[in-house]
Formats: sequence, structure tokens, C-alpha cells
Amino acid sequence: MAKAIDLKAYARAAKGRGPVGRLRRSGRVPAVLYGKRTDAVSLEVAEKDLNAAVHGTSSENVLLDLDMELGDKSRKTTAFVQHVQHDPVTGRILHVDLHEIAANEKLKAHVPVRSLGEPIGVKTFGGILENILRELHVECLPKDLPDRIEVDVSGLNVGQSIHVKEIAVPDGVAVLNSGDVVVFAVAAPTVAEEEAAPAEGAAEGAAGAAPAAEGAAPAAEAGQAPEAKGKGKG
Amino acid sequence: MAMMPKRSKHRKESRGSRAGDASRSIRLDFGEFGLQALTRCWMTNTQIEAARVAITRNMKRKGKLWIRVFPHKPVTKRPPETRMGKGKGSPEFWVAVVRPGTMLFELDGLPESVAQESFRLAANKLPMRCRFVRRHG
Repeated sequence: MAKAIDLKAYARAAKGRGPVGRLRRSGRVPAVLYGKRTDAVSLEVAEKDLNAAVHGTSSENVLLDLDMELGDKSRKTTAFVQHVQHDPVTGRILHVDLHEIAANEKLKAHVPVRSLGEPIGVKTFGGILENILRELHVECLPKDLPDRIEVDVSGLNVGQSIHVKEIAVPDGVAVLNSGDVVVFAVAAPTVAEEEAAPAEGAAEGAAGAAPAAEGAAPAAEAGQAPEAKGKGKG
Repeated sequence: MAMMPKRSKHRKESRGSRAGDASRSIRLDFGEFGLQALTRCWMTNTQIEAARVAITRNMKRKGKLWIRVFPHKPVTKRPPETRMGKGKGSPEFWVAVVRPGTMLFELDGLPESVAQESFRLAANKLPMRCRFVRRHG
């Protein structure tokens, strides 16, 4: 786990859609800090600093050394980035949840799983490597939190898979997922004939939007369409 | 065969609202690469099928495709040269309501260049602006 990143935060008075929108336009991001020992605090952080902290890692599992200015007093604490909301179109950070943690307190996080190497089944037999579980739910101390978990998949053949229980995680990290869940699997290559048939189907589909399917409304109407036109003219 | 619901509760629906950005189905949930809509539209079942065919033809058996949109909404049309009134027209086709940010397709198990080309061909069949997205890290 990389060391905690310094971040300056300020108390936030702006609440609600309008004021928070103006806050975002001024280059600040609304945030909230919560934890077991203290009440939740509304904060604002500089968007540029937050981007540098969150997007500099492969996951959004980031530890922050927060330096908060709360009115006339300031407070320092360690926080874990619990959740980041993004704008679906622009990708800008809209809001961030910060979870106050202690160094000796275990936290739960989702850590990305990455594959290492090319499986034999893919290289030799043209199989498809499927990454079925992309994140592991882990519990550990903040200092032990891995940035990512890498799994060597080079030995996988077609039809074989790697389960959660077979993955070696760093010391001090406990996996909370069920051990029987498949993480990586190599599937057999799909059959070529599937391609030709849908192409014809598409052409038919273009000619008549909903040719024949029982029960569905437009399908039922498709057969009656000429009659409906005839009646309409009258 | 273009996608359509197996059964529907009501044969005809109101047009509804397409306002706002997508709030669900906005992330890559299955694959490594995705095609994301940037503008809003009604995406018809034939457009979905045309895009799917373009993708599968280009990727040539390799990789896995997920279609993240489904045309749940029936669209009616009045017959040509009819006077106003006499009720709502008959259902003609099905659409998926696509808002900016909706993830349309996802791909996995193939090189990025192939995924990009597949999605470029698919985007040319679609009535809205799209962009290629990939997972971080």
C-alpha cells in the first residue's frame, strides 16, 4: 500500500443542489467525513488535488492524511476514500465519501485483481480469458491494504479456472469473498457459424421491425398492419 | 433476430421523458472495454442488432460481448394519410431509452485495437454520439 497522501480540506457551508453546483464550478468538490468516533463533517476539497490523489492509483483505494480547517480551528486525521461519485458523461468527481480510520483499526475494501501472463489455453488453443470477479473484498489494517492483487494465469488451459481460495494474498490481508467463487477462467472459443446467422437475421429485422414473436405487442400488430392502414384511409 | 420483449403488460406506452443523464448502467460492469453513449436517443431494436453484427463480425470469434441495453419500450405509428383522431396508432417497433452516459456494449478477451475498431464500426450504425471507454489500471 502506498503511503497516505496529504490533502487539505475545508469546512463546507454550501448544502443543496444550487450552492453545491456553484461550489463545483469554482473548482471545489463537496466531501463528507464520517467515522465511528466522530460526527459526520461536511467538507470541500480542491478538485485538482483530489484528482491527483484518486486518479494516481490503479484503484480508488486511497489513504489520505487530511488537514482540515474547520472554521477557526484545524484538525488532522487519516481517512480512507470510501466512495467516489463521478459524472457519467464528463467523468468529473462530483462527491467523495471519506471514512475516518485509525491505524490499528481494520478496514474493508474492494481491491482490483489483475492477471499476469497469457494463459496456455489462449495462446495455444484460442480460448478466451474471462475475468469473472474483478475485485476482491478484503479486510486488513490500513498499512497492509494492497493497491492491487496480481494473479499468474499463464498455467490456465481451456476449461480451467482460478478460484478465490487459490489466490495468494499478502500477509495481513483476509479475503471476505467465498472461496469457491471463480476469478479467472479460460472459455473455449466461440463457434464461427454464429456470425453468419445473425447477419441474415439483422437484414430481416431491418425490413420488418418486429416480424414474429408471440405475445409481444408490436409482433402481434405487425401481421395486422396492412389492415390497419386500409381502415385508416376511410 | 432483433431484440424484443417476450411479453409486455401494455401494448402501447406513453412517450415518457428522456431528460437528464443516465444514473444506472454507466460503468463497465462486465468487460474491459465499452461503448458509452454521449447523447440521448431512442435506440431501436434494429439499430442494436446492426451494431451487434458489426461488432461480432469484426472481432471474429475472439472475445466476449455484452449488450447492456434492451428495447423495452414499444413505439406506435399512425398509418400514412390518416386523419387525426381514431385513437393511437399501432405498435411498430421497440426502442431502448438511452441517456448520456449509458453503457451500450462491453467487450472482453481481445486486444484494445480490435475492440476500438469494433466499437467504431458499431458507433457508425447508431443514432447518437458514442465514445470508447476502458477500465483504469
